[in-house]
Amino acid sequence: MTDSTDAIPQLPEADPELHKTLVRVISGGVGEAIDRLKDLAAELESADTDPESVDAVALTTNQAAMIVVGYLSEWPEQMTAIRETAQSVTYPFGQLLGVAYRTVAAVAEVTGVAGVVASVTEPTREALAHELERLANVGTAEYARGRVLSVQAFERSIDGVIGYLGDSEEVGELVREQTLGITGAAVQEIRETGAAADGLTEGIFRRILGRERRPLPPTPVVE
Amino acid sequence: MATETQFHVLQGRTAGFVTRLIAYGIDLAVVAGVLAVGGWLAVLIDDIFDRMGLDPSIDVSTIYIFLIPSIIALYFVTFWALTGRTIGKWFMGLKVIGPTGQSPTIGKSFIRLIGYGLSALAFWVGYAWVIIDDERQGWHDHMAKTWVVYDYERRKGGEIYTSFLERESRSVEAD
Repeated sequence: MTDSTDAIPQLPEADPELHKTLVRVISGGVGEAIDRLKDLAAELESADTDPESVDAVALTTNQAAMIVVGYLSEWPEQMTAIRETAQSVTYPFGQLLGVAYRTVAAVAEVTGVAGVVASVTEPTREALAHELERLANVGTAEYARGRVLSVQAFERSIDGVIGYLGDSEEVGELVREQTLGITGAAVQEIRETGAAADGLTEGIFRRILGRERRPLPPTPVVE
Repeated sequence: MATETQFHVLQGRTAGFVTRLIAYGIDLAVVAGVLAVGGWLAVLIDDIFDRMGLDPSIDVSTIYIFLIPSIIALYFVTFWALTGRTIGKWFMGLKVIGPTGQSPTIGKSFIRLIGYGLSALAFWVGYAWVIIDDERQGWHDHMAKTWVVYDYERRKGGEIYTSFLERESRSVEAD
């Protein structure tokens, strides 16, 4: 494995700022959760409970926590191994695709096909940019609402929140609708752009070969 | 001019080079991902054997390398024979059909896979043949008597393909 990865260029390092932000969010959340749990533990301690059962629960919880911490501690090494293996297997495919892409791009540039294709794909790019801008606006608004919602949710018990999300048909419906709406429209756009590019490419070659043009693709003759 | 009825004309018609190329690229990415995970598992198993003090005569990684062509074949043949769609073709709304209009049989799918190899060996000319072929078939399609057709209903108001259709129709009328 080491020999095969020697010749492969290293992947760029992760964005440190993004990483820091992620860590801050996680660490802040964990800190907040720990404080809340401490409050809950203090409440439980003040209640009339059996000391033996409390000790047993604490021991099991500690063991589970230590297992998780141990696993997370070794996670970077595991990820490095996965990344190296994935890179060594996918790298030749990447090289192959790179050569194919450069060849097609060069031919398209020389023959002027690139300009024709760009005229078809430009509306898609504009639509995509518009959609991304809209999503960013939605995201900003939703983020602000989410902050308020998270504070409120923290005030409830964990069981209550999970129960609410699990049972709520509206939440499930909302997630399904949003996901299907966005992905469905995007996929349809990609498919139709592809179909138009199919026709354009074929039209160019049919012109070059002196064949009759056809606006619609043929239908296969099946038995 | 494109009429109201032409909004659904793509379904059942043979797909062209660009759409199929994108689907092929997606399939390559999926297969590469599967192979990467498999490779990682093989290395992991070897590592576990090593830690346990076991010393098999042949590494799992070595066996895995020899299995790679079979995994690739299994991916394409299974998907074609069962549904007519690989993941890439499903994403791009395409389907492979045989002479009866149904998904190709396992035999036809296997012949198609061999055709894939031959088309690639000939500097991908077999794939590019789709551009100039009257029925938009590549060499592998001719070998297995298969077609790749669009398999989705167009939504109304799909501007890009509609504008292409209108422009082409005008050009043909002008010719």
